[in-house]
Amino acid sequence: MSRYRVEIVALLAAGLLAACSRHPVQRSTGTAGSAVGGAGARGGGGAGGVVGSGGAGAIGATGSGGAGTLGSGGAAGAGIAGTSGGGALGTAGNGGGGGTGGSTVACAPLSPITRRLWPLLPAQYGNATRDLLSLATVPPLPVTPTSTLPPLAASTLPIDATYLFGLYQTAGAIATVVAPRANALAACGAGETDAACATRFARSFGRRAFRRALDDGEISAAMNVFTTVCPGPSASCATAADFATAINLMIKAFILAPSFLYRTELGPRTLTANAAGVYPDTTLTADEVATQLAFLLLGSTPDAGLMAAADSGALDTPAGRLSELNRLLALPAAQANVTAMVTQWLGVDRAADNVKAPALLSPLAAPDQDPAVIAADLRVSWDRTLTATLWSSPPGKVTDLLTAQTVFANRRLATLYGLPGGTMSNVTFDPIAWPAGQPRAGILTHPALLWAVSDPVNANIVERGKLIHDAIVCADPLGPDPDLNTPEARAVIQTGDSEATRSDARLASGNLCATNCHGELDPYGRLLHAFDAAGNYRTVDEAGRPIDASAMLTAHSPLGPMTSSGPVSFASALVSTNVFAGCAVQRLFEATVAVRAPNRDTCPVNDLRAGFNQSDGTMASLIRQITLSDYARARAGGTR
Amino acid sequence: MTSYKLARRSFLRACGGSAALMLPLLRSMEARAQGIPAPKRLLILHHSQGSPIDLWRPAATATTTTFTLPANSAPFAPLQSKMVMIDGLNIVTDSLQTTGISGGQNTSEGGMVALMTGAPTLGRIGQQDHCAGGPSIDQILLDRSPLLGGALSSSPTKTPFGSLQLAADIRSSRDEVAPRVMSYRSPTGNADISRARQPLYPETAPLDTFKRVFAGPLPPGTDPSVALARELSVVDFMRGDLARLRNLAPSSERNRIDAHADAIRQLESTIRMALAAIPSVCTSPAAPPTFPTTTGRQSFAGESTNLSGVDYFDPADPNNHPHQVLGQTYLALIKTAFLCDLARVVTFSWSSGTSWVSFPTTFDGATLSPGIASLSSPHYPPLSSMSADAQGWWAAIDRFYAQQSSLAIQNMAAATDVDGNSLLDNTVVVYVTEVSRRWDHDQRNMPLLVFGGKNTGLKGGTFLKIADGPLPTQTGLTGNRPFNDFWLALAPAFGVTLSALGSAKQFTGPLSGLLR
Repeated sequence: MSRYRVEIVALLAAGLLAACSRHPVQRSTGTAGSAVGGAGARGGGGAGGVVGSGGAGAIGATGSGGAGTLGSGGAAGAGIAGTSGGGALGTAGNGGGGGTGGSTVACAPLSPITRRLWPLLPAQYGNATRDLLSLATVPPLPVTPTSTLPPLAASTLPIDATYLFGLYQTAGAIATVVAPRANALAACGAGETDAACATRFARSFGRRAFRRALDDGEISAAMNVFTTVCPGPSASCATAADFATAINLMIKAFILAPSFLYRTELGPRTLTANAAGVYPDTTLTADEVATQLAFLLLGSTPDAGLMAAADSGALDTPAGRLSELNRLLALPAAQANVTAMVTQWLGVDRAADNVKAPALLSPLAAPDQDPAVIAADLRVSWDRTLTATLWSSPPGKVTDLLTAQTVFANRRLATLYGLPGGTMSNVTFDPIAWPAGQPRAGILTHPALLWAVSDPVNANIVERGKLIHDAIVCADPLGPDPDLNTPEARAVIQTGDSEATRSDARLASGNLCATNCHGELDPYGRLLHAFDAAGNYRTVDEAGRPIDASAMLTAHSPLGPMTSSGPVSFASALVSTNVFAGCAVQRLFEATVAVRAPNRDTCPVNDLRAGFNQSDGTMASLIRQITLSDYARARAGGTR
Repeated sequence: MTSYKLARRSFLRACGGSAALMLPLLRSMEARAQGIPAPKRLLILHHSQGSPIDLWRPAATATTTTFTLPANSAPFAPLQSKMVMIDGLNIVTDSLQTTGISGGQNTSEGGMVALMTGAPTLGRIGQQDHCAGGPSIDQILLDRSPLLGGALSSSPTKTPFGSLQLAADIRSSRDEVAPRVMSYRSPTGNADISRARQPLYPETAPLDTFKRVFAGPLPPGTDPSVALARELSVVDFMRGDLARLRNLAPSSERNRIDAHADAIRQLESTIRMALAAIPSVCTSPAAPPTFPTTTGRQSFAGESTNLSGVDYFDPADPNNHPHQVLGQTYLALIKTAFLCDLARVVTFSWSSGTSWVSFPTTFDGATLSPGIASLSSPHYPPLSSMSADAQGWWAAIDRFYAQQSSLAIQNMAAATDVDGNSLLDNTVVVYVTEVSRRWDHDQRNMPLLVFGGKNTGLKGGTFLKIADGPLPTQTGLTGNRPFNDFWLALAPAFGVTLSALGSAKQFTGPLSGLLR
């Protein structure tokens, strides 16, 4: 039995692998999967269709032939067992067997990620220095032009002169804080010379800072920093204070070095280009896997466990990676970090910045009408809701997020949202069921989300529609937005005396944008129109007219053309069709690898969806599915 | 009186090991002592949303040399003898994205990109975030001109910081990059156009810029020469580590690594500036203050921004105008950076093309009617109202920017450069905007002023009316030319010959009549 087979058997025995592991990428016609997850195709559900998509192995790096899952109207096609792919870049095996009868809808290929440098975001820089140096607090971090952007866009953060100078100032402040502890950090042994101690420190601290072992040349370079304070061939320091200063200077050099400022995803350092200047495709090293998992789940540099797993070679195996991933997912810090990713994916992190008109907060006494305080309450409520669903014991499914009928509230929120508050305080947040008169649909109608995507006064149908379009159903991009500054567009925009009538005008206008953008967006937003800009339930709009929360979705919607009576039935459809789960896979995949899926029907994402659909549906399984995939670990070599 | 030789010795002694990097300053001193030419400089100064043409352009009876500036260009009258006013240029956008995208014609976002790069965009993200498809003109000139001493050039005259990108405010609708960035490096080949463009984001905090350019942090109580050696050892370590990554990384990371290398080089300049005594010719300015900043999500009329900025109008202190003070602070820093020869190329923007700078409802005698104010103001300029009060209110704001910009350029004219001439005698200032007409974002007859004294080659005191081009005018006639023709004409002022800029429809050839 091959090593691969042994590992898969072991995983199955441990109950950690879902029902089947399949070839990563297939076409319905059974063509071979391309290396690093190339183009594939999804069997369309035509009448009598036999074969669905070749799915990815549930978590496997490589797999055997796949069984189709998405075909309808016929039996799923049994895949032909593929040969074992030897690693992520694989020589992927033969594709799963294809059936006949169904139309073939090509999924969009996604090029493999070329080896790269990925700059730490300011917050990650702060976390990493905090954890490396046991800082109680992190000095002020530089503000960057991309600070307000989601991780996907923020991965383009340039380390330019302004940002580097900001980091230099931060590093200087950190050095000042660390200075009194420099000798303790070096922890010289009895009888150890200054030079020997400093060299040992450079090797051990450098290993942690650079998230990989340093070679002798790098150690020598670090010692050049040391010897500016303690010069001479023996690098002996005149005083203990000089030694501390020299160690401190080394620390400053390490936390300003490019190897600290970038997550490197370069593969083995022995990689060499061929005569044509092309590097071979590769996979992340164990150290790079540790770094990937650490910044994804901890938002910081690898902890001791990850370092040890990298050093021992455990991260070179699927079982080892799974073991470390499971360990991390059990940590509250990782759960909080994933929760924060979900929060950012759904745009709720913007809530704290959004003020509201006092009239919307009128159920509260005047002293309690501070939007910043309410927004902070809402964020706690949101986090508690997500945590209770995703990380409880046993954990709920990702789709349970859409069906929860309780909300965590303190007295202030209970008063604002018409909940039975009783003797609650403003300090504690208790789960309270929404009153029967308020048709709520989990996080889709959570006040924090509604608050975040609304204006200070208006509910903002378009923004809400865009949120659902982009983040709840992951519909394909609509193409370029219209120019809203033309007189014709302004005339349409300013027609109507309420949000609903203005939406009607947009929908009636066939030429506002070529891609029928409002025909796509507005219906989603109308589904939430029974909630005002603060997220409170209402039955009449700002013009005093009864609210109709039903909407007709177009064929462009991943749910297909359908009429939904309101948020509850909409959420139910999202769950039953797996559209929301599929969107979760897509958005968290993108955030994990910092690669944008060109559309909803992207091959590697489809494979992950297929695997996730066969899992227990928890967030932990979703994270496992993504982070242990071939795509996440494979890198194209690139050119010299 | 201190002799020049003594000053030179004391300067070099103060510089210690940093003498090489301090050569620009030394050259400045020597230039003053020996009467050799001062360096050339370029400042591109942007204000947003155009200018009302009837209040900007001289009357139809004006001639090339005899013209009177109307109300909104009148603030520049004191500079008229060193100024060329150009009328008849159109911004012409283009895009490499062929699916019906124009590159943002008649938008502030597309206008900013086309104005500064002159090149077809890579395409558009979201509503109007047009991705620059080429380097900006300031970077093109910086790289090619030995007179401008670019950081990346091999010129022996390169300056410590190469170029500076500064802005009084960068808040933009939907946080789009296009309207808030003036400078770009050459795009990469990344298939993701948001990553392919290479914006040089402007700095917006004068105090941070001051620390970076004029006085880096110096550990207290430390011998400067010792501190310098230590800090430079850190820089050397950074540089060596980057070289290692350069060897390992594929070519797709080359631009990122090049930018990082330049950042390290500029950091070294900062450290050396902080630790070396600076001669009086280059007196470090006073540390700027901090400013009250509006943060968090700001939304209005369906638009929003999450970026931070400093408003003209401070509700807590109506007599305080932080936007104005911040802008003037930056313009003063630019003047000193030029005098110190720390950078010869600067772009400065008063606000993004989709400005979110708050002004009071009543401003300089113009008042928005309540109806208009309820649509957009008092916080933000009305988007596209054609009402008389909105136009009058915006004209007042446009006049404000003209007054403030003129004041700064006059300060440059009053400053003595290293060759004993006026700083403006060696400096070209281009006053630009990204649309000509605010209410519909028309981009014909773009308002454009160019300033420069006797050593710049500019034909001061000229009103250059273009009538020989193929493009339409605002009044529906023809005769206008693409804006890029101006950049082609200006390039020789810096010893650069540009024969083409942008796609075939974006230029016809250099304007005549700009330079002597």
